[in-house]
Amino acid sequence: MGAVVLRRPRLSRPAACVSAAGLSLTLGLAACSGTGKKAAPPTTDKKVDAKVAMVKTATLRIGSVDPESAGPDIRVQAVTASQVLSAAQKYLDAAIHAPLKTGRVGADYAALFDPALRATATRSDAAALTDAVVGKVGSFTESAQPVALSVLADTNGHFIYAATKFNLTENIPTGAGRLNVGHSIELTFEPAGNHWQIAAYRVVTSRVVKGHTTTTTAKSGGSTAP
Amino acid sequence: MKRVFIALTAVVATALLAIGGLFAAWLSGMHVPIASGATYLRVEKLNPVAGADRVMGAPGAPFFILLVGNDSRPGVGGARGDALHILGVNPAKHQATMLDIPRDTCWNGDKINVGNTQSPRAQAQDVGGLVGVPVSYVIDVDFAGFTSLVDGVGGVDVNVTQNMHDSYSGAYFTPGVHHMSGDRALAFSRDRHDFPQSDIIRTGNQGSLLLDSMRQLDRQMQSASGEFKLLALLGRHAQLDGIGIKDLYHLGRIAFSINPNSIKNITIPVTNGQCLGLGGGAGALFADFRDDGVVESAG
Repeated sequence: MGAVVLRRPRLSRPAACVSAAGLSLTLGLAACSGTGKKAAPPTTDKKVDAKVAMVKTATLRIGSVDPESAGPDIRVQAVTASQVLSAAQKYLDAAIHAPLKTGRVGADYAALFDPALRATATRSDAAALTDAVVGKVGSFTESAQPVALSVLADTNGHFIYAATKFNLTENIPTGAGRLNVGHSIELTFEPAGNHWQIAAYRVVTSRVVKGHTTTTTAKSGGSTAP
Repeated sequence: MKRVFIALTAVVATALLAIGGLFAAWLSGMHVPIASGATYLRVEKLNPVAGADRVMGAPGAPFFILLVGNDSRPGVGGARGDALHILGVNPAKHQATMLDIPRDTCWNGDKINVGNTQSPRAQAQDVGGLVGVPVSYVIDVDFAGFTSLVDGVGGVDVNVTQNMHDSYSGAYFTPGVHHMSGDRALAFSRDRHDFPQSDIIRTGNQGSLLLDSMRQLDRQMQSASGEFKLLALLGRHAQLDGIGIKDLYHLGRIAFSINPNSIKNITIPVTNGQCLGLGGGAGALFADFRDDGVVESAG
């Protein structure tokens, strides 16, 4: 199937607000500068762009699709792929982007997970699953590999699980030096009502600053039998 | 017209020959992979707990799975439980123990393996009664299903610990690790003539084969894609009774959260004779197994 791209604004809302405020301030200063003297040099678009580029978040794209079925052969429709990709993007926004921008995971972070996983996802596994340990930073750039999408259908051909696997890298300037973060993220989703919920995960996160590496891993295992 | 008749006759004759050949192959015990939905094994859930979809009524509680290899094959009916292994799983401890039950072990005045001729559920009740644990799941596979499953996962690496040269089972192996197809794995698991202790050693070998298979599957189960492939294989080829694909997924996540190298494989102590009684230490072994699904007292 063809590539599926979820289009979303490159700027997150806080970044857009900062840009708008900056632009307003610039315009205001320019309006008050009519003294007859040589006008102050206007803030250039280039400078605004440079500030915006300091926060660059990744938008996930589908790379490959691997359909498996316990019943009839299946095809993964673009709408299904988009829904799963959207769920993975929500995780990215809440677990990775929100902490870097605000210092805290997104308000909807816990709700992304199956209730049985929420305790570990928000506590013991949070260091691997989120960037909360990094905290709020002034700027960062991020890039993501295309997502490998796997889907499992039951004996009737209905989708029961979908998994996204992708690597994510972040480059974050900090007072202690440049922090490079690498995430290997595999999320397994299952349908929950009208959305997809994280039913399992395997995540490896490494953080390198000045040659010192810290690696954390998290893997959800079943704790209860069916 | 005559040309058409000749052509039709040729097509029909070819089809009949092909069907006859496949039927003969099936009768001789060969695996005939013509139907993708062929049943390789049966998985049955037992002891449903009322009011809670949990095996023992509590999250993380230990549970027990009986693995049965039955001897049903073309020309041999009855489906006796010739390979009997009960796996205790403790999700909270991430540990498990497998007890190997020799097929000739006495139970209620008869060999324990006859229970499977009634049903896998009856076999589970017998083995559960012998050991003293409630069996929550029983997985039953016959010769053809076993070979197909092993072939379906691409064969299995088995550590052979002693020479095997047995014309009855077709097991010809030197010590060391061998990558086995389904047929060769079946021969390995059936060989008993090479050993003075006959079925006792064979039972232990079957347990080792199962753990070697788990190690291999464990490698495949380290990604969602691998998990989905295995579940799809099971879904297409397993007869599921009281359990669905999603349940198998959860079971798999539990099973493969346990390091296969840490699973103890213990053949239960038995006496000599045609119908084997329980040997010394069996009672203590079962008690240790029963309390949390894990045997701590023996290696």
